[in-house]
This record gives sequence, structure tokens and C-alpha cells, in this order.
Amino acid sequence: MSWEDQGRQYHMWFGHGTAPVKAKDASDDGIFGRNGLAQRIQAVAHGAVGALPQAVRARAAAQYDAGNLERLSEAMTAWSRGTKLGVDEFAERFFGRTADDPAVKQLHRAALSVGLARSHAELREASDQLADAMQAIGLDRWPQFLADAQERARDPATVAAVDKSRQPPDPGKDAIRPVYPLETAIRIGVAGSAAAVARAAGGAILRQLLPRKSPPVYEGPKTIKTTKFSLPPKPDDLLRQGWKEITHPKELANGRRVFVNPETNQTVEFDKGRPGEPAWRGQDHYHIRNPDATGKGDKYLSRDGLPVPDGSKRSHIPADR
Amino acid sequence: MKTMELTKLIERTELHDSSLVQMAREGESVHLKFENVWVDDENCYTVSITLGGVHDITCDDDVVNDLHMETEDGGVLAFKRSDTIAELFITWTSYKPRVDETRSYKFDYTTFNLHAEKQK
Repeated sequence: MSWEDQGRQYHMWFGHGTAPVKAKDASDDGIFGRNGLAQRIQAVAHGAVGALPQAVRARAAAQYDAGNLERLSEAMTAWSRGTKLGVDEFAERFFGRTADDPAVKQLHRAALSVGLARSHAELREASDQLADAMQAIGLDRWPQFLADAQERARDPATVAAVDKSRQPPDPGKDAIRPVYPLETAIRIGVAGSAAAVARAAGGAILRQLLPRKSPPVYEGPKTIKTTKFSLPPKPDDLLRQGWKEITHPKELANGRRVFVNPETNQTVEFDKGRPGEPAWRGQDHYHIRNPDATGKGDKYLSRDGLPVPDGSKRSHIPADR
Repeated sequence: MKTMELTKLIERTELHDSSLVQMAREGESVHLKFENVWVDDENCYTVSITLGGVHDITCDDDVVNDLHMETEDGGVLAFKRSDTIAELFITWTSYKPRVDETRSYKFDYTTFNLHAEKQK
């Protein structure tokens, strides 16, 4: 079944949707040229709505009208520029999630696809990936997810990391040099069977040649607090990570549990959702208390560690996946 | 959305995670005002509730004679009611240093009125 037969709208973004058509114009000016990224992102954004199930398309389109399209365009531009980051760092910096998160996987693929696309078929593939990510996040949460992603993409530390990842290697600094003495490899070769030696020597050499991967370091402004701990779907997992429970009986009776990290004094609240109930009453979520709060306006922290007001959307944080 | 539907929808949220900004007693009436009452991802309301015929109020099982806000900041855990009893579970927060204390209020009432306005 063609994508048109699935009920998607035909807007000329993807040609006829029947076969990959290589772009004739790969100049700087065309959609598939070096300066065509913004056009490609727009096409993918609209195509993603078409790739969603029919029942939710109107809703997704309405979200675009409410400012989501701008947010998505900005964020996706940053994601596309950020694909030279390792996938772990990409996931952490842009989404505060791990690389194995299904939505992150799709968004990473979409960012790669939209950056490299040279045909309408490839753009359509990116749209499908974006649509999959939207559904993995959930349309209810998608606008907030995008707002968070936009803010993360603007984080000066993220911008700096992306810029650094795009710099050409410094030949004087980054060149791989032979650091494993040849005679050592020969000695290993004498000691064991040929295949085992090849594997062992190869592994040892690689370990020395490749730079040791260090965990991403948060380098944001000092006003932003680091909240890079996990918020597991099952709050009991916090106890296994060393957190202590300080839940008041009245809170427990209303589905809330409160945990404090004895090392950092960070306190989080977990609210158990009741399926079928509206708004946040129906969804499991966390709140991160701001220990330095001065009032309602900065009572909680967002997942990024930014102070956020009481009752704000961003003070509600879905569990990590 | 009809007013009745909206009222029911708001009550189903239990006003969870909203902010209590007013709690006052006037004779046999108790006035409660809540901000940041989200009913879905897009719609947020300010909700005023008046309980009439209130003749008994307890806080953590102690009788309350003079109802007042304990701090300026009340985070609502839940507001729920039956035909005669309304219960408010709330965390009062004071700052510098930050202290959060959870309390429950029970109102024995006879009439209930809820008014909601879209919050901008």
C-alpha cells in the first residue's frame, strides 16, 4: 500500500511516493542542497503528521499551529547538527535520556536522515521516524517534550559540544600514533595461537589507540542545577539506589511517595497516576523539589535542573523510560 | 464544554498538583481558591469552591476554630468529597530554609459550589 493509500495528504513534499527519486538539483539552493536543511525539516515535520494514524492527525496539526512547528524546526536543526556527537551524548544532551530510549533512537535516526536526505523517499523515511518518536512520547506529552528539547538544544554547553564535534580534527593533536611497540606484539605472537594472538594484540592495540571515553560533563551555567539522576518508573528502584523514603502517611494515602538522597539532600516526589483519570491525576510523574527555592515561582526543578513554578507543566516529570 | 461536565472533570482531577491561594471561613461558609488546575495538556483553570453549611472543621483530627492559610504556599495533593464530607490534603511550604509539611483538612458541609475560570 502506498503512503497515499494509507490516507496521508499529498502536498508534493515527497514526490509521488512510489519510488525513490534522486534529486536532480543538489546545488546549494535546492531542498537537497547544502542550504536546504530548513526546507527538509519543514517537509519532514509536515510529513510526520501525515505518517501518524488518521485519528490523531488533526490534533498533531493543531499542535503545530500552537507553536510546535517552530519549536520542532529549531530543535531538529540542532539535532541534525548534533549527529556528530556520540549517540550516548546526543541522547543525554538533547533529551536527558539514554541512547536505548525508543523515542531517542527514532529522533536520532530522523536527525541523521534529514541531514543526509537526497531524495523525497529519504525525507519520507525521516518523517516516518519522527512520527514514530511522536507516538512513543505520546501526543499529550509531545508539546512539553519539544519545549524541553528546545531548551536543551539552546543550552550553551550543548551548543559548545555540538560546535566542537563539528570541528575538523587537528592533525597535530588528534592523529593516531603507533603507541604499541611492535616487538611487544611479536612477543605475544610467539606465546599463543595465531588467532588468539591476533585478537588479543588487536584488542590491546585498539585500547591504547582509541581515546578512553569519559562520561559527559555538564558545563552549563552555574544557575542551572545538575539533576542527572534517574527517575525510574518504579519508585522502589530509588531505594535500591540509596535514596531514603520520607513519605507522610497522608501523602501515601493519596498516591504520593517522597524520597531524599542522603548524599545530596535532593528530594523528589513520586505521584502515582490512576489510569483513566484526567490530567496528571492519571499519569505517574515526579516532582523535583528545589532546595534553594525562594517562593512559588521556583518551587520545583525541571528535568534539566532549571527552577520552575509550582503548578507549571514543567514541574511534572514523567518517569525515565 | 458544559459547566456540569467541566465541574465533574475538574473534580475528577482531585485538583491534584494545583496551588491553594485562598482558604477562608465566613460564618458557615468556607471559601477555597485554587490556581493551576490542569484538566488536560492544554487547559488550565482557576477554581473557586464554596462549601456552605459548614459546622465542623478538623485539621489532622484537631478541631479548627480559626481557619487560615498556614503559609502563603499550599500545594494540593488532593481535594475530594462525598455528599457531606470534603477533604483537602495539602503540603504547606515555607522557604529559606525550605520546609514542606503535609496536612489534611476535613469539612462537614451541606452545600457545594464550584466556579471555574480559564487561567491565562
